[in-house]
Amino acid sequence: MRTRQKNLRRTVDIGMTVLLLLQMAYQATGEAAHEWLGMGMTALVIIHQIINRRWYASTFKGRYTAYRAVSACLNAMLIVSFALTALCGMAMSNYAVPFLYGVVRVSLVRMAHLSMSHWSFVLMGLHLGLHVPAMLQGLKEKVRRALSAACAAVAGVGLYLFLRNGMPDYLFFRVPFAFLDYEKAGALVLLENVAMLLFWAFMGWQAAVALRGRERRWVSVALMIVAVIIGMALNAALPNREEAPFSSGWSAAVPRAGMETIYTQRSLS
Amino acid sequence: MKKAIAIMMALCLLLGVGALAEETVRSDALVIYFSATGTTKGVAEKLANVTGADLYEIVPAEPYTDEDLNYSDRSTRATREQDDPQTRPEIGGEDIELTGYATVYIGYPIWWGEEPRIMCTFVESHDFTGITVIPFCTSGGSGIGRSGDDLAQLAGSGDWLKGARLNGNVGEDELRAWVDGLK
Repeated sequence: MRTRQKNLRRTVDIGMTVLLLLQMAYQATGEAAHEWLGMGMTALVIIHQIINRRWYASTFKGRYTAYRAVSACLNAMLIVSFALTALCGMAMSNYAVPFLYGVVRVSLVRMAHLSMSHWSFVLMGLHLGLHVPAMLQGLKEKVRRALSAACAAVAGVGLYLFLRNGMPDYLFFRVPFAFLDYEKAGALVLLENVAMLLFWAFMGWQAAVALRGRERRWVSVALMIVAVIIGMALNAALPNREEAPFSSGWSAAVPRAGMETIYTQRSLS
Repeated sequence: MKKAIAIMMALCLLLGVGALAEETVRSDALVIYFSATGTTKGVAEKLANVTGADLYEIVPAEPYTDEDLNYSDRSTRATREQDDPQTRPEIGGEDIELTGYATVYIGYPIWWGEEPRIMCTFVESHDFTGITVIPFCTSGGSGIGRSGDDLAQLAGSGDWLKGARLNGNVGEDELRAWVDGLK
């Protein structure tokens, strides 16, 4: 691939990742910036599809290995969830495209946007991870192993934050509107977003290594299990939001009027 | 004797007028608010403190119960009202006269991304001519969005600023900084 093309690709990829992290920090960027950055991200995602048009063209050609099948499914889900995120976001716009406000009932659109945006976050992490082995080809196996081990620890913390911040509730349409912690420092919100994304990227990465089978599979599977165990152990050991060392950027504050979710139930006791 | 009584009565009259004068001297700023669970009320009270403004609470004729506010049930009152932009819940309690105020802060919680419909009832039934109106809101996560602009349009009078979302436990310093920044 020519260098200029490669640079364009990388720039768009980095741009999308940075914007994703910023988009998940609504209370830090404010509502107007959130909408404008969202429009920007939509543009980058469209450009990303155009850059990779040959991937679309080759969908029905060639053999499907396990890795390719998983990757293709994931990409399909990702493009759908992102499209819905963008469209629903626009349908409740107050700043960027306010003329679209209310084309579909806003309360419905809000719940869809909250859910689809969190699915997009998870799927983008996995998508990123699936492409990491290709990026690390130049490194020695020992270095890759060490990097994997270090990332497993950070990934575990990311999972803990993901659980603690009530993200699964968003995935399963249990959040009608977001409760956000506006007092949390913006930098900390972003840092947590990085950690959470890293968990999913790590899982995608190790899954890709295991699926491609060019290295010993059991190592990558073991690392995935380790990351999950770390995350769940932290979540079990530090249940109370008030006491936990990480204060949540997306803390689902005690919802009034009886909204029970999986995670608030646990932390209320 | 008669002179002494006359002087005493004059003094009493003066004191009376003085007392009366104090009661009718108002601030030129007013903080109006509607609060269902008390969050907005807390912010409104702090704001009134910081600005030396008078305080007025919009009291619904039919108070909102906990069940009314249950947002996980689509059939409950608050959700139904927010789904219908035309509905106008009645206001109870004493009314307020806005003439004489130069600045009015108007505060409310955000329900389903928008202003509670009772705020629409209020702005449609009051005249904001010659007044600078500053909306403020509290919320779980939403910003002020289009609620301020909506109310400005429904009011049809007054000079409405953009306003802002304030934290439920906003500090007085932060409030003061915001108010100063508005000038």
